[in-house]
Amino acid sequence: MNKKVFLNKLSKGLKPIIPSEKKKYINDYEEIINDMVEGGLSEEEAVEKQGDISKIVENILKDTDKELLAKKDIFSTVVFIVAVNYSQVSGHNL
Amino acid sequence: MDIQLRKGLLELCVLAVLRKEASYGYQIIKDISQYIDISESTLYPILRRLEAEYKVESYNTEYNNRIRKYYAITEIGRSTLDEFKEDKKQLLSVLDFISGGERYE
Repeated sequence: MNKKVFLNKLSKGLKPIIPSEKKKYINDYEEIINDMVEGGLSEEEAVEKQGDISKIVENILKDTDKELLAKKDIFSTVVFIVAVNYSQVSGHNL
Repeated sequence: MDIQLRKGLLELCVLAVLRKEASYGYQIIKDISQYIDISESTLYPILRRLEAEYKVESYNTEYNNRIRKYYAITEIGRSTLDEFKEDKKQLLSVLDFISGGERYE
């Protein structure tokens, strides 16, 4: 997976978060992938090092205060996490 | 390690790293990893929370034609570390007690 695809999937997974907060995370991951590539890794390797997207999303969402969630609906948040996970497993693009 | 314990320690680790000098995501992870496992998906929510608590502030700088975000400790962040230093003695006794140290009969 290249950086652009990874960041797109991450962005979709983070939809429950308000846009300004979400943007910070996307920038964080872009920056760290850039830093790893600068450190000698290929873009694909750097992306792979970030691990499972659904796990990243899960970690971020569970640590995000409720006020920063765009969707108050927990159910659709869960659906998102599952959908991102499914698309990764089956190779489909969301 | 227990999740809650790890979380608390990681926040203090981030503050400790930043007390030495301002730093950025990739470097912070490298520095902390020498002591405890930390991944990007753990670090960034911690940085967000520290920022929300005004213990850390961030600013953008240009580096190699791209933006790099630096994090710096604030006075509030420094006092958090100082408070922890005061608690350290008690913490060590408690850890000793928990692990069944001989000091406790």
